[in-house]
Amino acid sequence: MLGIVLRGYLLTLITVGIYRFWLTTRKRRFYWSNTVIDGHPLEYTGRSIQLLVGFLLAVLIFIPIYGGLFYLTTANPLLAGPSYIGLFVLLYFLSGYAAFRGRRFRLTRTLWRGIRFGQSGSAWGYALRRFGWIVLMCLTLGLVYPLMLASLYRYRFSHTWFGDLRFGFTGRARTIAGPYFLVYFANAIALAIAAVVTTLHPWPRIDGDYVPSGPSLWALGIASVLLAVSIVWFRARERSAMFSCIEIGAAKLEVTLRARSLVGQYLVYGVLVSIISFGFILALGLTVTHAETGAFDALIESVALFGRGLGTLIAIAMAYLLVVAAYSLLWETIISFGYWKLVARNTIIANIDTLSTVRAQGGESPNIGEGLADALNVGAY
Amino acid sequence: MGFPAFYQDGKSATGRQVYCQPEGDPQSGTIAISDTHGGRPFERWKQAELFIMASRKDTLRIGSTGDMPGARLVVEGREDVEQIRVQLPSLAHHRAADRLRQVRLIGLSMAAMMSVILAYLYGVPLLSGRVVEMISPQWEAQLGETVAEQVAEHFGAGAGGLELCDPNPESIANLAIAEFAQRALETIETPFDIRIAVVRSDVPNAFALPGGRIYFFEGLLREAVSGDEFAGVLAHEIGHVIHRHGMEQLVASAGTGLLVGFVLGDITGISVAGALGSMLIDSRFSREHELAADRFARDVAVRLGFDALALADLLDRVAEDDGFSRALALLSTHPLTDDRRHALEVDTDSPATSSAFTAKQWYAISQMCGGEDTPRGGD
Repeated sequence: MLGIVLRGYLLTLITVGIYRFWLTTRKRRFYWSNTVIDGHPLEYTGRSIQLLVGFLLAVLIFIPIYGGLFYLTTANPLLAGPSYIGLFVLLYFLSGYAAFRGRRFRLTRTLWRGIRFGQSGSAWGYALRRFGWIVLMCLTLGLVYPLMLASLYRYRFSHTWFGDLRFGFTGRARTIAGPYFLVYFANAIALAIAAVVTTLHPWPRIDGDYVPSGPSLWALGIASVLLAVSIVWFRARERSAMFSCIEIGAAKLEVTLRARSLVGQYLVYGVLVSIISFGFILALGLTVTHAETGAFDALIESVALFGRGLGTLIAIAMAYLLVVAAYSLLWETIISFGYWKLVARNTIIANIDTLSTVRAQGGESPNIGEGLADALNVGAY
Repeated sequence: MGFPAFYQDGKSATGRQVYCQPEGDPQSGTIAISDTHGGRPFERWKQAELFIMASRKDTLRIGSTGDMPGARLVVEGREDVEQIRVQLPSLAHHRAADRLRQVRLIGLSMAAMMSVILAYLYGVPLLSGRVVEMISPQWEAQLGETVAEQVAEHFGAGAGGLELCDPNPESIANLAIAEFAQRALETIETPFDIRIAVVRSDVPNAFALPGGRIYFFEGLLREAVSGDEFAGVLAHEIGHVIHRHGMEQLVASAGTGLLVGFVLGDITGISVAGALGSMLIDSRFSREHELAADRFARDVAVRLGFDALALADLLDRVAEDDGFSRALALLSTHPLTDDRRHALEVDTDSPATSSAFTAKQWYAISQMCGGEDTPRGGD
């Protein structure tokens, strides 16, 4: 995985971004072919060119939207604020459409035992549903979240097919209502306590800046740690409970994700990020101190004056890309890869033998890639 | 010679062990697939139609374009896989051909991407000028008014907005400035009504809004030691208005956002790389505009007979090129002062014959913000 990603980043850089479609395809082939179910690996049959063309089409859709927006804001600058909010809402709505369509793209390019997966249902229907739920979420301060999760999971999985066999989803809101409200109210209480402590020990003002008071800092710190850990814990519970409600005919999924494994992944990631950040800062500090003694003066001068500032620009870009690549490399190898592995390892499919009677049905669809999903950055894996 | 494999027919989810027997040459030959070694083949795949599906290490998954899309022959184990590669040379052949296709495709898209970028870099300065020609001056002026309100809110401390140094339009200083603007525009057709305001602010700067409003900050006036320096800045800003640079930049930066999003695949353009890329491209256009405005200022200076290089002297004083600004030159919205001096240099050696303002006028201008004593230098 590390090799694929490293090589992919380098090639993406060299090819002005074009290679990223090939990188996605390679990563998927890696994930799919290493996911072995009952002795047979999954197969990913998507091609990079489909992603490339899909992206180009998405750009075509966006040009008129941006053009219209530009015209609106220049015609009347007062409209700038509302139209950007409108754009945000539109993009959010479209991201639901894109996510569902992207899911169809991936499912219809996934084969197991020579049989293709499929997805029925309408991407617009899914987008509308998701959008409606989000509006309700805002109105109820998040209290309807379990209902929303159950509804969206049901829509996704009851429209998923393996050959001519339809998936089923038996989950209800109450499947995860317990953990959700536990997390919800625990965090609300922690936040309330932190707020009370902060009011009792107001932040002193030093040199015109507010400085957190000791007790308040403790309360806020504990509340944030609780928030972070409880969110990961809830994710683990949610995925375990919801995935375990998936049925494929008589076969049934059983997923048991341990919350501590997931928390462990984030901890490892956090520690590595800290080490790398420390390393970057140390390197920067050492370079600066050395530079102050005049050790690199000649080098700095030649870089700075190369090509009328081009040298500096390349240096900045390189440093930026190095830092970004290091972090995203960590994310891809620890969080993305780790999560996939965790789910794959902890999933048991009961009655899997019943799947051998499934007949193939349907072809690849849509023909052209996940353009919008890619452009809106909602494509998972 | 042949090999055992696991066969999936791509029609049902069952699979079975089979025996494969390559027959004939790679171009026209087939693989006979039978249930047992030497059994009657139930399926024949043309060797020329075989392809390899990417899979795990030491696993070979072969498909055929002539069969069901999900039909596969699967062989596992390093040695077995090696063996089959020898028996079916067409596989390696197809793989190489596919690789070549992919590399070509990447190369082609890359060339297309580069040409889009280049066309953009060189085309937009031309194109945005054309687009701007289609925008009506009234509309631009109206836009300028709205921007002016925002500027007033941004700079103005409290509700006062930008405070004029000398609110009386009939004062000597304001009349002198208006007269200069009129003289500068004598031979030029422009739909815009140039209005110059000297306003209170310590920032040593001056700028022009679309539609003709020009703001000159007290901070810059204090730095100016001669009427020609002041006049040079005015001429430069008038140049921006005449060339409609504000509108051009508005049009160009909208396109830049799109281009950068296109390259990075992040259409929302909120990433740091996106912002940096946009800045890089937009600042390039901006530098070109600055030089164009400088050339306009030079032409005005030559026509009116005042010292064109005075502007460069003022720039030297306000913004000296240090190593830092040289290093960051590509990200800056303004060219290096050396380059601007170059743009201002007059080809013909016609020395300045007079000044932009009379001594009396310049004295009034230099005092219009309620200055201290006499201006430094005099005329």
